[in-house]
Amino acid sequence: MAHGVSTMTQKPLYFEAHVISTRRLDKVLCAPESENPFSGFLAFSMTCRHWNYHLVLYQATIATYGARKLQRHAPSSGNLTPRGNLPVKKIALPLIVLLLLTMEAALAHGPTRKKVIIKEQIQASPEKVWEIVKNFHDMSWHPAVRQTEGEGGNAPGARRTITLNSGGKIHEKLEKYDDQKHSFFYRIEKVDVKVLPVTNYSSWFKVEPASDGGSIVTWKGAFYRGYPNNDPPPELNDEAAVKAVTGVYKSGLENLKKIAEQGS
Amino acid sequence: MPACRYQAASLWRGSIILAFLLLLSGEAVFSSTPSPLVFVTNQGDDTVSVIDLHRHQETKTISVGSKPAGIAVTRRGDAIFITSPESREIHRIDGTTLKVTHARQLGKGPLGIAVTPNGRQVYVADWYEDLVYVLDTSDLSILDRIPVGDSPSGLEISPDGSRLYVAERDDNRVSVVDTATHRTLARIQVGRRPFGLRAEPGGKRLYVANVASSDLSVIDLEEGQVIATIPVGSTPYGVAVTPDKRHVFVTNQHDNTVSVIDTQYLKEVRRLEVGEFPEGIMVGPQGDRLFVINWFDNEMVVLDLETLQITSRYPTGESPRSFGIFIAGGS
Repeated sequence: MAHGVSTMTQKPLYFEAHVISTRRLDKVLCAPESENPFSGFLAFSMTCRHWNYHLVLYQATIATYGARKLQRHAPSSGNLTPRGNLPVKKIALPLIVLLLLTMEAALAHGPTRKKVIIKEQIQASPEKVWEIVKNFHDMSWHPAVRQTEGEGGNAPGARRTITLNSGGKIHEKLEKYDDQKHSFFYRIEKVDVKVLPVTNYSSWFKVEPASDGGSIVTWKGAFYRGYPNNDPPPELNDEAAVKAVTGVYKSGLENLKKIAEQGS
Repeated sequence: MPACRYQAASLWRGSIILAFLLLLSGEAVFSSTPSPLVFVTNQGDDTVSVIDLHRHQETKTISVGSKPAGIAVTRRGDAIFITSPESREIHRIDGTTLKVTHARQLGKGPLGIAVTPNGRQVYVADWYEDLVYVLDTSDLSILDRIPVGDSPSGLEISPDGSRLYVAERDDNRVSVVDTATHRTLARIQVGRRPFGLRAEPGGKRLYVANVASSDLSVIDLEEGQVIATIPVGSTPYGVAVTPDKRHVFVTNQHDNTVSVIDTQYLKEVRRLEVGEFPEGIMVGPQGDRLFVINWFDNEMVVLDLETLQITSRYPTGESPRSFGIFIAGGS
């Protein structure tokens, strides 16, 4: 830069606004899915990609235009204050405002964590039912599942990929497993919202004895909807998420009941 | 000084009657025990449950803003403040009438909330704006805005009221703010994604739950640094401390447990099964009971601290959280 003066000492307004806006939006849209205990706010990988695309474009624009302008308006020696004719008001600010306006929806509050609990009473002993479901890598008892592949057996840390009849895939990780208590706890690590419209999903599965000698199977999930920002499209809102998970649990448990009660 | 004998006589009469009345009213006036009410923010049905421990039941349900989560009860229990991050609101509930007296819009995502020991000011962390608002408790007017780090979550005020501690979740840091000047005095790196935090009575130590690293940072506030990082269960949320400072309890959301930490040896000594997705946690004002809010079960469980057994359960509203101080005088 001319006169050996670094532009960084000037810190023009639009750079700061740019940093603040991108940092905030980045946090909303790109926080890792696995780390979000905060109920209301969540990032979503698809939106993050879109945001990153816009961000790159925006940054390139600012960088190119800003750099050229600064070169032409480099301060004379001794004068470190930003010149009035830097294009803050005319170009950068409107750009920022425009971006923030379009992203205002993204800044809005995120979704609340949802839960689904489905129980099924089965006329078969808990041992028999557990025998059918206990293998983390065998989901053949679920009518929507075409195949399951994975590694790690039934130890915490094991991973599986479920391929649905529709072709969609769900990637899951086993977190806890108790052979004695007939229960396990697992998480979805990755799933396309078109396959299952949820994020940050974790689930408990448990087989318990019923008073009549049969079993009660409980399948529970905690998750957020597929779309983290305000005004979600109907297929990615809270209701859609709850409906989809409820459907998975109900169809699975009904089929499990049929299989377990068939005798043998 | 009474100007004449008549005034002196009536002064005596008055004070005798007053003393008699005080004796009659007994415990309610003499005792410094705060009211035995527990407040639960039910994020799933937009209400606050009031559970009366003496009557062993929920006595009232108060409607508040959308998806309430954070809570701060004054030390004397005379007021309760609620944050509703979804509708961006703060509500003030009177501790006697149990009615909402004030409500206001605030920020873009208010969650963490803490009230000063003297009950005059309430601090609210805004997750999106990276600010802590300072509000007057009498009318919820904004007194100041304190810029803090990234995604401020849990807030805690030192027992003497002089310091505000802010868990800056996405900076993996806790900031120490002077409550008189609102200036940040120190920034202390902790584990990954600090969320809930609690100061021990006397204020020498601060315990911080780190959600992503599943551990508890122990900060010596005099030294101004972390003296221990103790692994706990999966995705810890809230922290409680006994009045004698000897034990710390942490709710482990995905583990369905509470970690019991010995503060002398600085390690986990027990892990208690409490219910599903435990979040809010407090030690009661008498120091004899532990209160745990289970988000999944829609239940509060009470544990006896002598035996560490669950002694009672109370149903709450839908998806309860109680992030903050939810019992007057508790810790």
